[in-house]
Amino acid sequence: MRSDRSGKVLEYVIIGLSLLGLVAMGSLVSGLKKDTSIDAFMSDDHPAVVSRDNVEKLFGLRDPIVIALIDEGENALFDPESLNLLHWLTVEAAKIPNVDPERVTSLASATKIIGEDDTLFIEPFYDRDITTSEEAAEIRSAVEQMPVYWGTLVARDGRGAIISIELIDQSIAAETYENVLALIERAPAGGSLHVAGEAAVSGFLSEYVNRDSRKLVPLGFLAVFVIIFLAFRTTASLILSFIVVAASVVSALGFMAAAGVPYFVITNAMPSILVGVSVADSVHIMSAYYEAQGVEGKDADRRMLARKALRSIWRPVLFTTVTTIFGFLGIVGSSSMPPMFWFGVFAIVGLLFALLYSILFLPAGLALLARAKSGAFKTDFKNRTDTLSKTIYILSSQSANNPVRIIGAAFILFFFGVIGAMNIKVDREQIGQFKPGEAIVRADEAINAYFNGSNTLNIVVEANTMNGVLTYSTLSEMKALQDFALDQPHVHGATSIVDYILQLNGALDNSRAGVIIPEDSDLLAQQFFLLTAGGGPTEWEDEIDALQQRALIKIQVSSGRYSDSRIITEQLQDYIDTIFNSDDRTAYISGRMHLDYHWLKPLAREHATSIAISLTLVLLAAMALFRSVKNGLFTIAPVVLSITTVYAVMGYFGVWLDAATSMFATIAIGLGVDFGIHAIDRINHYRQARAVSLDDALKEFSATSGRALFVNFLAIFSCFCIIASSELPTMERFGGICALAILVSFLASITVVPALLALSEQKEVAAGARAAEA
Amino acid sequence: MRNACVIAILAIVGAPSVTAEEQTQVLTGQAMAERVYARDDGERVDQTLIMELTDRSGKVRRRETRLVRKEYEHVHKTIIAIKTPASLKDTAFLTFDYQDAQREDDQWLYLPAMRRERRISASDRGSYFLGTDFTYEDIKERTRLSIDDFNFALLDRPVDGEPSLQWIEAQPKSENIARELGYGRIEALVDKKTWMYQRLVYWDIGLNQLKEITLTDIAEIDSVLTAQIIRCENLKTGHSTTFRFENIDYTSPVEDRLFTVAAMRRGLP
Repeated sequence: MRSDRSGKVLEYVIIGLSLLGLVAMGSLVSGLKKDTSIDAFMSDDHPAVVSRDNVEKLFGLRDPIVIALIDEGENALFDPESLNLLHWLTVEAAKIPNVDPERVTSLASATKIIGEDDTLFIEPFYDRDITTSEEAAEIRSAVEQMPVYWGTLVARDGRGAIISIELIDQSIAAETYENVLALIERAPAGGSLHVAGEAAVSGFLSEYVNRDSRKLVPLGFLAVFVIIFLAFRTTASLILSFIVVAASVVSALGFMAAAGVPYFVITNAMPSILVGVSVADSVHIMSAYYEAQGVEGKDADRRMLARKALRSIWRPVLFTTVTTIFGFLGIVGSSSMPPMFWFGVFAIVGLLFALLYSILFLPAGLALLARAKSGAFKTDFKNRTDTLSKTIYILSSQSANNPVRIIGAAFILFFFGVIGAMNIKVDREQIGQFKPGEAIVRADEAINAYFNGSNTLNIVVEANTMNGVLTYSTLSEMKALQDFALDQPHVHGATSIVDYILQLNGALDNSRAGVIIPEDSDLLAQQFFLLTAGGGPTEWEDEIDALQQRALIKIQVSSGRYSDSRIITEQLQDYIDTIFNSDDRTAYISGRMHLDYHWLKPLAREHATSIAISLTLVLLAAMALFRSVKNGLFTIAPVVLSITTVYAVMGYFGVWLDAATSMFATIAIGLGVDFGIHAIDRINHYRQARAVSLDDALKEFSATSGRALFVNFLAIFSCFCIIASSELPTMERFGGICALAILVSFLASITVVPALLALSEQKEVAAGARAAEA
Repeated sequence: MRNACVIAILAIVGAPSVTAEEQTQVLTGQAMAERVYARDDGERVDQTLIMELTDRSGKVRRRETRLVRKEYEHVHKTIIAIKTPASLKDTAFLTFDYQDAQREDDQWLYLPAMRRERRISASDRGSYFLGTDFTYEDIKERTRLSIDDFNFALLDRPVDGEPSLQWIEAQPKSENIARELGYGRIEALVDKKTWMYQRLVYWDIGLNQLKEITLTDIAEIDSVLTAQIIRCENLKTGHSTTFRFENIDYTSPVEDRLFTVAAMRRGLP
């Protein structure tokens, strides 16, 4: 009686502490900060990031919000209506909070450098409303004399213009982006308007992530509860599994907030995965509980049933958690990208809490709450005739009866997977994160179609001496480098101080844009003085530094794909190393595309390393669990098959290996191996405990653990399918391929694993017979 | 002439002088701004102007120039000739600032390496002056604030231990003026002893803090109160420009032939 009371007290204490812990961790979640920037994919101390930051600081570069104005009319941009719209947008954008009014650049604020008669004009193209078509034609004529603005401020064919809006505080870019959208809503007629730019992408992505997280997590919970309800049909199972799942998700996010780690785009998949994965332990423990209740009867002592259930299932429960953690450790141990690294770390935190709640809170909860018998469980497991158990039994027994065929089919699948893997391309495109047809995608398409391109690559030129950039030789070499860049695929623009010097030299000679760089250094210095005298002290800082020792070449590219940036970057680097660099000057590459190149370049290697780490750890764990090399290898067979199947699909359907999709393999290993562990553990257990044939063991497995395994699979599979319903295409792909991997792992664990066990038994029998004959 | 009326009235009542009575007198912000605006700063001056441009990383570019200015009846003429650095030596900038607001200013630039001068288009009032942090308006008004462009009001912000110092606020009279000058509002610290601004803080048209101008080393030279160091710091970019005035001469005659294109070609001694 006393032990009964003390047991109850202990259960209440465990439940109380568990709920308290849940509330405490939940209170931390509100402190989470979002980081949807592309910069988040590289650590702050990465040499490419440090170099980029230094270049941005040196040249005062900031990521602007860009409005593209497109006018397909007869006079294109150069009619009063469009030019006045451009002027209106330039003036009104300057009034938006957080916009630097002095850094709103468009044709309506830019300076023309033109020589006419005896006068040199260094002044705005226009700064007032245009009333006549003659005035508009004059502006067209002036623009035509300034090739440096073609494709940058004005569309290459004159059918559009750009307004570049620099922000004072980049951290509130999303808010400013909303204000810019509101501005174009109330803009007068004059052309179609599109908003793009890095700050806009970040703002747009932030909104996507908000919408996604509002949808994915509740849907995940809902799906899991429907599955739990159908599987157990008791209120207690719903309440208890809800708390276990909530503890897993809340602990991961709460500790993330406490550690000051931001919520990245990729983090959006983590809660859904944890919902699906963390419920697995509960499913197995509750299955064991209700099975025991079915055997012992409704009036059996619930504490005793809970303990019995835990005793019978703790080994696979513990080991599957460990192997899942090993899967995520593969990501932690191999990824240099902070979002992926922290994804692995906090998924492990969530899994540990799921385990803790499953083995402490859940049995306590079952003992107190699970009075009702589950209608889903029957006592005669061996002769259970429900469709699910029957299907699992048919699949597994048929596989065991035809092991060579099944294993042969698995090898064929493996072979196709290897072929597919060879066709997989590491690639990524920032704009590809959004669905086709989205406003931000249309804006990007417009900029790439009408202008030089929305993607930038910078080359920093460094002279060895002060004023060393403003020499004939350096400027000529810079011009040659720009020309070389323009020969590369997708490169439409390459500009630097050289273009302005040429423009001014031409204007001083009353000719159109000059083609000659002055050889006299004093003349170059004086011409540069004339240029700077016409603008603010920092107007040229994004072209050349104060000591005229460093200059920037800006390269505009119409493709944001990593595969294109890799070719361009490597070609330019080769040119710089072999032709440009000399005793007098050197150059190095920086900019957004260069960062993309650096963070995606090691992706394939990191992907392979993560698989090697996860697979090795999981194999060692399985061998340790079963104390058998053979069973260890059998355990990982389903996941190897699932990974190669996904490779085949990716290769044949052209799905890129990117930051998100590269994580699928380790997650598939960590989660998928659970099916193999449970299958081998239970089949071996039934065979050894009851000394039955493989077929009988499969029958019992199908009715008990096989069923639980299916519920487990369904929960995880549903959550990945829900991730695949994300609004972000990259998450869609990630969810889709993970769901496929889990499906293959599950199917292989009830087909390939029995086939392997049967084949192994046949070999052992044959070997035994040969030994007896001998 | 934009401010002809005010200056005429002040000329009738006499040039502003600083008396103990006036120092204690309670003036409106508008009256203070008018006092500052009417302060005599000489009809002509010949001086050395050293421009020091400092970027946000602390790198300094230094230019030494000779600046000669003379006021005529309808026009202010200024010539600036660069002495150093050597690569810019004798580069000169000549400007005629007409009192008739309707008439565009004339500007010429001489590049010695090309051995030719070019007329250059007039700059807006809000444009930066020769690539420094000062605007043409700052230079034309010699860091005073035009009473035609702004409404002034006293700010209730006493300066500890300095009863002669008073903060006033200037608001552009119209959105157009604000846009033309690039200023949304200005706060200025008036020294009632000298009727000079000691410090001016500017906000841009989006009301973000823009820049700060400070006037120091104030001395009476040839009976004209003169700030020998004027510093302008852009609070957004971190860039700053310091003007140091040396060899200031308000009294020696300034020849009219200095303000010609031919003089630019010959170079100022």
